[in-house]
Formats: sequence, structure tokens, C-alpha cells
Amino acid sequence: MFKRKKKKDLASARPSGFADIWFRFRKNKLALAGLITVIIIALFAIFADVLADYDAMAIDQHPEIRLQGPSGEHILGTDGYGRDMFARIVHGSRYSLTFALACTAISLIGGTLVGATAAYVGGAVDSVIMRVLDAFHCMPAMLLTISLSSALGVGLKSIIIALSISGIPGYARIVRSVMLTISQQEYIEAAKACGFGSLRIIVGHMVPNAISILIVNAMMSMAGLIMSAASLSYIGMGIQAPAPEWGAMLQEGQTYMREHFSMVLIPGLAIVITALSFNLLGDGLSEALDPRMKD
Amino acid sequence: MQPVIETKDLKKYFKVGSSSFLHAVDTVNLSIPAGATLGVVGESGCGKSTLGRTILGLHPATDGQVLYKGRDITHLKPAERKKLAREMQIIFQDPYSSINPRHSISHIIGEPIKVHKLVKGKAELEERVRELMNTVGLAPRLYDAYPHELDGGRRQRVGIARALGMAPEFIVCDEPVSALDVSIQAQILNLLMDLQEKMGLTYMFITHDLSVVKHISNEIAVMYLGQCVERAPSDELFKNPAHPYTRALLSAIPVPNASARERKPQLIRGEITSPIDPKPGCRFAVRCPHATESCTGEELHLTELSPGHFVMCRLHEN
Amino acid sequence: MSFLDIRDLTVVYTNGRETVHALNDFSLRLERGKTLGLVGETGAGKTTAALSIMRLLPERTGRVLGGSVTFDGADLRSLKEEEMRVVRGGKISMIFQDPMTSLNPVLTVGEQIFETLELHNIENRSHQQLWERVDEMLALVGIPPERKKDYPHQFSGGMKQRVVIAIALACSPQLLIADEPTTALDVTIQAQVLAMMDELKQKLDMSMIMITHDLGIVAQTCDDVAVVYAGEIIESGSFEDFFMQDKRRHPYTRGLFGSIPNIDSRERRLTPIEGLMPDPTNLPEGCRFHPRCPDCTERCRTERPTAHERGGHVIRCHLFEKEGE
Repeated sequence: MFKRKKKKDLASARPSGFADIWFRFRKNKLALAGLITVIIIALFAIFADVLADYDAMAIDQHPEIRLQGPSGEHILGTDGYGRDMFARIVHGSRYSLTFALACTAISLIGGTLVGATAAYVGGAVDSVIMRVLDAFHCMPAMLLTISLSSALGVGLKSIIIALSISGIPGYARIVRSVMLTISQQEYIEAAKACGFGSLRIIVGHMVPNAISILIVNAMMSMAGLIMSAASLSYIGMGIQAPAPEWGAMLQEGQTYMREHFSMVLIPGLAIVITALSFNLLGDGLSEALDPRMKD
Repeated sequence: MQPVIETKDLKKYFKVGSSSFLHAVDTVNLSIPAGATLGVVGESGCGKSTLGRTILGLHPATDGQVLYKGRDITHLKPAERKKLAREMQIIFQDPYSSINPRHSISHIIGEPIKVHKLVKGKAELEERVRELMNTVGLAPRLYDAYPHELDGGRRQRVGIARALGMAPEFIVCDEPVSALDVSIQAQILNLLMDLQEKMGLTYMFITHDLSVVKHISNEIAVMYLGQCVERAPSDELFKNPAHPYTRALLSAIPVPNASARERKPQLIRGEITSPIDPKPGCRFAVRCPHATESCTGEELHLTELSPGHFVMCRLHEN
Repeated sequence: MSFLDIRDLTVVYTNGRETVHALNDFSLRLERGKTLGLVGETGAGKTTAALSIMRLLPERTGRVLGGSVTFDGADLRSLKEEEMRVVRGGKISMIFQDPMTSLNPVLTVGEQIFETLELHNIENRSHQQLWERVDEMLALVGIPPERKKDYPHQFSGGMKQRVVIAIALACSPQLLIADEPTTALDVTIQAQVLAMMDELKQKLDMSMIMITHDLGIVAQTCDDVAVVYAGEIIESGSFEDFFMQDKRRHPYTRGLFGSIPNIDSRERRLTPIEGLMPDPTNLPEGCRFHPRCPDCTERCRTERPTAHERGGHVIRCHLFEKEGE
């Protein structure tokens, strides 16, 4: 009791919630490294065209300079078609990030709507929604993606749809359980006692309290989605050649792996570092956003 | 004079499992005159909080009636209920969970005023919020502060200001001081009494602590397992407690003076029994030192011992 | 020397950004066989004092800056961790406020009592003897021994607290530290548990520190009383010093008595202490209580009062300086 109270005393001396989160986040060096890496990768994606011309360097083939090692002109060397590896990695980050962001956004919004409805309405509606989600949950995400890709045709659009759909049950569950906890808080009862309407209570009182948990989960799933996108492209179900997608690059590099190990190492590292950074960032955020984790 | 709040055979059952019912509030009759305070006392699980929430319509009643100034408000349409929220308010026990941590103090106090359109424009709203903060003793600098910057006592003041914003006539105080330290407890109790005198508020004061209600109540109702087992004017209850449970409660309170050693508390056996599908008869009988066979099997009724002093106990029938 | 003697104990909690001054020159004495009531409000440092005796302060944040803790002639602060483990649970036991969280939900209550006994099994008693002791302990706290096979969730709150007490007493400790043992319980159950503890204390001849915010509980169970405010003992003395009428009292203690709703008093209004507990990261200069004190003088703002004793009754306040001499 005393210990809990003391934390509140500490909290009372803090200037604001945001500075406080930043203070706790900053203490976690790994999370800080994750954040910086994510920012750098995001900058690469945003300024990809400035760093390297897409058509000239990442798509057009130059057989005369194929399989060169790193040099001043091509800092990461060139691939089997004489394309600049650096340019392809930089442009590839656009695919990975767009894809991960789009999927996360769609499943987050979809999941929140479904989960919040289930929690607020309750009863039979809740049971039906949850059972349908269970059914979705049983289907492996990869299988769903492969079948959707064969139905809608292979491409970015079908894997975004497929992975977004398979992401929805997870978010819906989290949102539902968080909302159920929040709806039992006395401040929700107080809002009801003040005569507030349902919409005002959900949007104004319940959602803001669930947001921090959703942010953390979104960061964690970004990492998973980057891996999924790479795997799908690797098996040829994702983004098609000649687009510079990391998973596809890894697959192409396999052919030259014996003599030119960097051909698989570079896209491999890109995937691992990006996924790891998002994971570390998510980890750090979950600790920083939850003051109970403090000591 | 017409009472502000009256309950007639009010019942609130919760369904548990397939065919069992938890009798949280069972046939409770109360009335609170304007400007008075009714203390509702009982231990955890006696249904005192459910009673307050059922009166306010936060839980729909299972049976019986709630009258507000003579008008039946048991089954209101949502729109009417919303309007009534302006006149009937609640103050909660836990100052840490009863105000939204994501909202600023001014937002928490101002939102109900805005929603019920009690003021025109932003300037007037701010003026009203500042006035309320002043009334409950919150420093003006806390206007833009967030709940985590406040201690328990100040948070409780925010909760009180929020309730007062709509200028209610009746407030259910659900254990408003039990989560607070003694020195802060006294400050909040005095504030509630000041507000009552100034604004002519009517309170229903729910607590587990008999010594707290003594100071604030005109009349006290003692609850046990959903039933009101004794009801009497405050002084009368402390002078002549009639129900064995009331006596046990009174003697169990540790008193901070030297005589505490001499007076041995009348210990009662066991713990509160289940409120699920209780059998007819006195619900306290299993723990009661005076229980006889006649206590079980048949429902008991309140007997009037002296004017205004009611008790539900076989010992006092006839 | 007293049975338990705490001198000038200073403890802080740090989280890298702020320092919480939890105990400041905290001194306390307890004689063998006596019960001491440690009274104070939330955040005053009562629990920190108990945890410092047990050397159970949170490792990453809590630090003892100075002072000594002597128990039964041994300096607890200089003991090795293994030696301390023998003291903990064996010679000194502690019970916590919340019976719901201090029991392990996946072990039966019998197993939990047994575990403690086995851990401190100095006399090398056989398992059968230990199980007999489990039955004995349960019977002692008023629980039928056949319930040892039940899990915590099968017990009510009051019964769980009895189990917790049985665990604490299993190794016949010489000192029991009870941290708000009845705060989570209903009054009628509180009365039962307090009566039982009182009986056990006499039967087992042990010393006890009763940590509580409730002066009523102190009046009922304690021989000596110490009041904690902002990490220091501002007043300590015997039961009589505190509860007999017209005694000299520290202004804070006086305030505490005025704040308590009392079923014996006739007054409608309470006289609360104005203001709030000081922020432990930023304690006031001079007397810690001066911003809230009705008798505050210029001197109180700047000079920290020392403890003034008269006949065992110690008050840390400038007002009592002359009579103390």
C-alpha cells in the first residue's frame, strides 16, 4: 500500500504525462536505439528518390557491372543484374514500411470497431462476434494470404488485405478486454450518472484510455508484418520482380550465395534490423506508458 | 413535508448462474426529507452501494419503486433519465478510479455542465468551473492540471465539484472518505457538511464506518445482506441500538481512548453468509447470539419500537 | 539495551530523477513482550520502517543511508544475507495488509504453512512432526485443521488473514510486525482478528509492532505508541501518555485525535488538520509539520526540533523544550 502510494506521490511532482513517458523511455537504451533506427529507416523511405533514382539505379539492368563488390560508386555493390544494391535496399524500405503501416492501420481500426462493439453491447452480440473471431484466428495467416493471393491475383493489394484481415481478431480481442476493464472503472459510472450518451462515453472516455495499449501492440505487430511481407515475397506470393522488395532480393541473392554472400546478407540484415527496431521500440513504449513497470 | 427520495419495497436482484439470484437489495423502504442526511451503514456485500446506484437508476430496479419528490422514477426513458441526472448525483469512494486520468481537472468538472447546456459560451463555462473549484477548495492553479498530479483528498474534491456542477438537489455519497487518510477525511466530511448547509442538499451517505455517519447523519439505516435491519434517528440508534447486528457493529469499532481496554467487544461468530437465494427468515440468524428457531422459516418485518425507530428482529416483536 | 533498538535510521528511495526521503533519523525502541503501535498516515514511512528492519527494501530503489537496527543484541544491518534469512520468518515475522495477495493461490494453505516450517527447520524435525505443527497452527488461529487441504480462494477474507497469521507465527517468532493487518477487513471481522491476535500474543509471549492508521486499534491492543510523520517519530510514549486525558501531545497527534470521527463524542463538526502531508521528495525546512501546525512559530520554520523526553514520553517539538530539560 505504502509503495503504491509513494509512486503516486512521485507522480504528483511530475510536470506532465508526456515528459514523464519520455523520461522513462529514455532510460531504456535499447528502446532508444530502436527508436533512432526506426527514424533512420523512415527517413530512407521518405527520401529514397533523393538518395537514388528508382528507374535508373534500382530497376534498369546493367549486365556490364553485375556482381561487383562495394565501391565508391556502389557502396553496397551490385546484384546479378547489375542493379545498385543500396538503391534497391533504400527503395525496398518503402515497400516494407508502407505495407506494415497499411496493414497495421487497417487491422487496428477494424479491430477497435469490432472489439469496442463487442465490449459495449455485450450479451449475444458479444458472443457471436467473439466466436467468428475465433474461427478467423484458427486460420493460419499465411494460408489465408496464399488463398487470397490466388483469388485476387498476386500483388501488394492482396497481401495487404489478407494480412490486415488476419490481424483484426488479435486487436479486437485486446480492445474488447481493455474496454471491459475500463467500462468497470468508476469514472465511466460517473459519466453515466452525469447523463452522458453512449457515444460520448465510448469516444470521449473509454478510447483515450485504451490508446496506449494499442500503440504498443501496433509497434509489436509492425515487426511481425515486416517479416511476413518478406517471407511472402521470398516464396513468390508477394511483390513481384523487378520491384526491389527485401524478401524478393533475398530470394534472388540465393543463386549467388556461394560466391557473393553479401547478396543475401544485405537484404537479410535489412529485414532483421527493421523488425528488431520496431520490437525494441514497442517494448520500450510498453514500459514507458505503463508507470507500474517503473521500478 | 414531501420527502426528496423515497423507496417502496425496492428490490435489486442479480442473476447468477442459470437460475439463482443474488439478492443485493431486498425490499428496502426508505425516505429522506429535504435537506437531511440518511446514513446507510453495513459491511461489504450488504448491498449498500447497489442501493444507492439503484436509486439513481444506474442499475435498473428488479421490483418496487423509487420516488423522487413524489414522482415515480423507477422506469424512466433514457432521455428523461438524462434530464434527471442534473438533480441527482453521486460521489464515489475511490478518488483514484472515479475521475478519468486522461482528462484535465477543468474538463472533468466542466463536461457535465457543457453537456447539459447549463451555461452559454466558453467564458461562462470557465467562470462556472473556477467558481466550483473555489467552492470545494481547489486552488485555481489546478485548473489545467491532470488527476495524476493530485493526491487523494484533492481528487475527491474534484469528484465533489463535478457532482455539484449541475446544481443537484440529492447526492448519493458512496463511501466518499473511506479511501482517505484520517486528517484528510475530516476535511472532506466538513466540506460536505458546509455544502449541505449552504445549498440545502439532501444526502444519502453510504459507509461501512458507523463513527463517520454519526457526525453527518440525521437518520441511520443499518443494512445486512440486502435488507435494512434497523432504522432510527442518529442519536436514538447510538443510544438504544436494538438489532443484535447493530450492537455488534457498534461494539466492534475500536475507540481511541483509554476506556477501550475495559470494554470488550461483543464478538459475533462467523462471517457474512451468501446473498444468493437466501432462505426466508432472519439473515443474521446464523451469526446471532440470540437466535432461536422462530428466527428462520418465515420472513420478518420491521417493527416500530419508538417513533421513527424501526427494527427487523424477533426479539423486538410484540 | 532494548529488545529492538532502531537508531537514527535514514532511508531514501531514488528513481534516478527524484529522491524520496522515506525515513529521516528514525529512532524506535521496543521492549521484550510489549506491543508497540506505530501510527501514521499514508506515506509517513511506517511500512518503510518495517521493511528496513526485515531488510526487504526494494533493491533497485531503496537505500539505507545511515543508522542502526539492533535486534536481540545483533546488529541486523551488518548480518550476511544467509544469516538474515534465518532471522526473517524465524525470529521476526511480518504480516501484510492484504490477505488476498499475500497467499499463493496455487498451493493449499497447509502446504504454505509447511513450507515456512521446513525452511526454518533448525531442530530437524521429521515431516510428520512438521505436519502436526501445521495442524496445531491452524487450530491456534481458529481454523479447523482439516481445512489445510483447501486453497486460498476457498477462504473468506477474514479466514485468509488468519492463515497469514498462522504462517507468520509458525516458527514462533520473537517479534511480529503486523502491517495494517485488519485494514482490508470488515469491522466485525476486524474485531475477531484483533481479539485473536491479542490472545496469541499473550499465549506465545512475543513482541509485536502494530502498524496502523487507526488510533482506535492502538488504544485497544498496544502498550506503547509511536507516531510517525514525514519519516520521523514525532512522538512516542506509553499507552497512558497517549490516551489518558489532558496529557501533553504533539500538535500533530492532537490534530489526529481531532480528525477521527468518534462515536463517543457529541460534536457534529470535526477539527481536521489543515493542509496536506508534505511531499517526501521535498520536505519542508525546520520542523516537518510546521506548514500545517496551528502553533507554528518563527523558530519552527528554520530549526529542526530535537526529541524532548520526560518520563519516557518523547515529543519532537520546540513547544516542549523547557519542560523537557
